[in-house]
Amino acid sequence: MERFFTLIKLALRNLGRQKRRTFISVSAVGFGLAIALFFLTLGDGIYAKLMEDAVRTNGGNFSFEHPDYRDAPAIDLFVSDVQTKRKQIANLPEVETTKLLVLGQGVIKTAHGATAVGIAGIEPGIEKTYSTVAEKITQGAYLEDTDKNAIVIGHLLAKRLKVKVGKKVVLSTNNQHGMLAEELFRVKGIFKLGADEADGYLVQIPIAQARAIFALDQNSATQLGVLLRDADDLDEVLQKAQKFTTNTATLRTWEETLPDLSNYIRTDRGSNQVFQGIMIIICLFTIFNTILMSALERTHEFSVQLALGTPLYMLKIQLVLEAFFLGFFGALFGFLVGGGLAWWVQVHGFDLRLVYEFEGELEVSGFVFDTIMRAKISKEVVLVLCGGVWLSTILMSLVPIQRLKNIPIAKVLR
Amino acid sequence: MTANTTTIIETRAACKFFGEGESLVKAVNDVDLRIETGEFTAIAGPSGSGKSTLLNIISGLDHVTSGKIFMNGAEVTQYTDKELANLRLKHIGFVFQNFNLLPVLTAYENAEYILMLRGMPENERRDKVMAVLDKLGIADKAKNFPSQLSGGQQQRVAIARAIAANPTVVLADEPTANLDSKTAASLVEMMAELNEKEGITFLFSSHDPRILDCSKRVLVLTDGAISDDQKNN
Ligand SMILES: Nc1ncnc2c1ncn2[C@@H]1O[C@H](COP(=O)(O)OP(=O)(O)O)[C@@H](O)[C@H]1O
Ligand SMILES: [Mg+2]
Repeated sequence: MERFFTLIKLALRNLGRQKRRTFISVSAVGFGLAIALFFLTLGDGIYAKLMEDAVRTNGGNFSFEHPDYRDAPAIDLFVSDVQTKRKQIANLPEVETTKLLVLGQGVIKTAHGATAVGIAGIEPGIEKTYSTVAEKITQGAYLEDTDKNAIVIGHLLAKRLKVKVGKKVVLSTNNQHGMLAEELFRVKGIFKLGADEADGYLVQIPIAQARAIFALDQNSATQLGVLLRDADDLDEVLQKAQKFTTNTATLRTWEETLPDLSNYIRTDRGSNQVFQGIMIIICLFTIFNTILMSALERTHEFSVQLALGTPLYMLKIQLVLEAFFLGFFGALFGFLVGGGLAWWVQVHGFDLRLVYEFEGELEVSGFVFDTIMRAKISKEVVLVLCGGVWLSTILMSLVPIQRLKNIPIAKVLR
Repeated sequence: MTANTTTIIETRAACKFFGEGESLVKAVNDVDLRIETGEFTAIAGPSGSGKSTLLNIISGLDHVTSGKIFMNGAEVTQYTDKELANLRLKHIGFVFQNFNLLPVLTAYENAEYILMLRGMPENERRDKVMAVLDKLGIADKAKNFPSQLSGGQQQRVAIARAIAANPTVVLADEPTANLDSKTAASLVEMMAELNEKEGITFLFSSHDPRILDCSKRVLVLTDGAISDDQKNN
């Protein structure tokens, strides 16, 4: 044990002896790690925010849908008995709220023309709190629970149909039995999400009206969306929710209901990881170089130690310890700098407008998002990055220690 | 085996050759040698005569080309590298020409190094090391690093390191070659005194005539072979 302390002392002093070089390699790997940590956690924060906004506006972190709905969306593929299911799922402690959506297609008509629209029957009281549509009303107001025959439409649609707030429009569609249904609505609000697809296609009406025109009963909806307090609980809650599935209600995660966004996040995160990984590897080369150099230039010293009778394994441990501390300081440096930065951005946020120029809104796969980004530090990312750097540094020392046994002591000491 | 209780080193027809063919160098050529406990023996001879090589094969830092070497009756030429390391740790004290202290350790820690490797408890080590440093007149330098010491002081620390662990023999390869003559003389005096008073066996190489005068026995090497073996007094 005491021998081990002496080895620690030797290792630390040897690092201290080449202060400049130790500093350079610690900061090189530390900066690499810091940058990777910062951008990966920022990425995670951005993805989490994208996801959060999207699931709140759409079908939730996961939803119940008719098993066949995903493949061929149609109004007659609905979840029945949603009220009981809703109560059951709302009882789970991880659930923040539930939302019902009736989703169908139709045609909107005015004196100036007609165009196809996606009709969303929503619960105004809930959407008002959670949906970005409610936040992005530019004219008029969003729907209320008490509203009847009120509709909110996107600004592009409004322009195309030349309608203003307060004007009348007709929605026409086929109900679940295939019969034609028409209903008169008054435009209550116009929203501008910034995404052309939504602004020119989506309309929202109170769910009661939607049920009426599609001939659905009070106990039916296209989606029963579930919003979680913490998105990370998804897998856990999915397991619990499994028992509430029926032959008209199957579970769909947000990744299934929002495949474009999910793909975007997956590929973007993937390329971010590859990029940061490459950078870390480059920085690790600096440290590898340091480890090799410092071993190579001390051949004489090692020979002295071996001549004095130091067991080879102790010399090996000494070198591994040097790498251990070098890696530790590098990881600590990276953790403090990168983690600190990320933490700041997690708490205070960071406006992407400072870095990128946007025309209008920030749009990703048809969804519009806030430009204020927050990092999301997770144990996993911190552990994998810092631990990975630390461990790789230690592993690097295995190269020079292989050479120790081949040192021609007598020749070196001549 | 002729395990004489007092014979600590024995070489039999020990040879160490370097290179081959045209460039073959017979650095040590057919050396038969016995060193007994309590000796204070110098290996003399001009540069290149094989002094270092002879010491190196005795300590197992280098392998013989042929012949046998015994330490305390055991044939060390059969030893594995691990056993040789252990032999050096337990039985041999080293003093090098260029001191070879570990630069990151203080004088005290350098002197303590071998005791630490041997696993001696801290308090015993402290007493032992301080006693030795004191004996060598460098107790006040205990906390200094080698770079803060003069050559003579460094070599005393090296001697302290070599003798602190009570080795069977101290091997010293030209221990005074890097010291001025005055420092060299006092260092040799000190080694002689340690030999006299503590009975520590010394085998060292040197070609400094003044130092050879202090030696009880002088082996003269010429082209790797022992050409003379004089016993003084
Ligand atoms: N590793 C080696 N490779 C080749 N020749 C060597 C080596 N070591 C020593 N020699 C040669 O062996 C001879 C004896 O050298 P050495 O033992 O160092 O002599 P000394 O210590 O008496 O000066 C010299 O000719 C030297 O050049
Ligand atoms: Mg020599």
